[in-house]
Amino acid sequence: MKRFLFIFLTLVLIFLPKKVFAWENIGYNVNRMYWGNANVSSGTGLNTTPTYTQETNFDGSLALNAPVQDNTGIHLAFARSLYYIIGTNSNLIQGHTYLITIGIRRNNPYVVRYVQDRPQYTHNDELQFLYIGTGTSNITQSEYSVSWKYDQSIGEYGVVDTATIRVKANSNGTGFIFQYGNTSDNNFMYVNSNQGLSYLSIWTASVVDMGASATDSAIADMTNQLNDINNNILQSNEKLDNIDSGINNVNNSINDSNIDINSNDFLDFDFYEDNTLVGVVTAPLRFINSLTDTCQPVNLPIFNSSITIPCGTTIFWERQDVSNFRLFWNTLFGGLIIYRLVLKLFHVVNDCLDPTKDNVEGVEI
Amino acid sequence: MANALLKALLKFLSFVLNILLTPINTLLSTALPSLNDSFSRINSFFDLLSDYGSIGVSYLGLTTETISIIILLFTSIITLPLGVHLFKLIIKWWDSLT
Repeated sequence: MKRFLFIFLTLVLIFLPKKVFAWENIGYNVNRMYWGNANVSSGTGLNTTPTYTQETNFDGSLALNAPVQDNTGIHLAFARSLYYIIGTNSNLIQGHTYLITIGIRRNNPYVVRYVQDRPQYTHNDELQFLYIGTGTSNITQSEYSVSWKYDQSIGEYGVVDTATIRVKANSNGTGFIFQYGNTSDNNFMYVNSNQGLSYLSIWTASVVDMGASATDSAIADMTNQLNDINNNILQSNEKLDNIDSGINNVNNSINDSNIDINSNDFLDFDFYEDNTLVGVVTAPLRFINSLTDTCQPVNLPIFNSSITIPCGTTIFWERQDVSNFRLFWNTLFGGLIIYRLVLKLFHVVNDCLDPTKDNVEGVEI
Repeated sequence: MANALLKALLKFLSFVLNILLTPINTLLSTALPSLNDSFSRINSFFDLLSDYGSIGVSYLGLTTETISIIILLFTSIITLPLGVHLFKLIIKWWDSLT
């Protein structure tokens, strides 16, 4: 046992990466990041007066409550300056480059983001958002398969002086299209929604100050990072869906009385703890039962202060990059314990079958 | 099925223990309260161990499934002989009665 403990500790020390405790330097001069929330549907945060004019500019900031519709579709105006997005311009520095993201979020983890770099932004500049889609095929794709590249939007089109974003409802009214440029262009993204425009109920805007020395390559790297984040979000959504499905399966199993459960309610019955003697006799069973409880950090009192001991799962075992090692470790360490227990069980059963032996745990009956 | 049987056996044993030990427990608590206190301390000690047990297990890195299997096997090893000998005892009593 000592040998295995030694091997375990050695492996933990080897595999415990520096990332557990160290911050990663992503290599950007990100001086500050602003986050602002604007609830468009209630008209707070953004300019509440929709002064949208047709197509040629963004002289308006709120159109979601009353989108303008003409023969080209439903037009949606966006905030025309950062002032309306972050609520204040006092922290913006002239001459700095700001990376601006606008998130459209529903009440689930799915996030769609618009990204545009805005070199040498001054708060009086109009913020002209553009969305660049990846092609016509997106129009038939469902909500969760929409994907697009941040670097495409910036690399291909850069910053434009005038732009129009259109929100065009699709033919059956279950979704809408964000469109930029001429109506003949295929620069759009399709968002599927069964709830119409109420889909866009929450907006989240962020502005990353990349400093005065930010270069195009730095911006491009940053957008790549954001692209990776976006992809990770999409992957996380898929995993959450899987978890949901798993939880449903577990719930179904719990509710199914025909299925044996090997969960921590295995010994969930009265231990008669009021009876002191019974408590002593059943104490080992209670201890075993507690081993499957969910780990909670423990506060260890030391003199006049206390130290919080975090769970091993929190600091190491639940990390994504040690999942394979955990599987290996369970196979190795857990498998060995299980093997020894099975061996012991075999001897126990063998002894039970032996008529000459009549003892239980060393007690002669 | 196996789970239900094992659970029932444990419940039965716990119930029998309670019936058997209740008079002794009452006697101890009235006649020898200090001894009763010492048993309570043992209980408290195991309760303390239970508080730290899950965090200890969390550092071992074993998944819930693995722990469940280990506990199941361990419980089986402890209770199986009891069950078998209980069965033998019942047969012995039945033989002596008949």
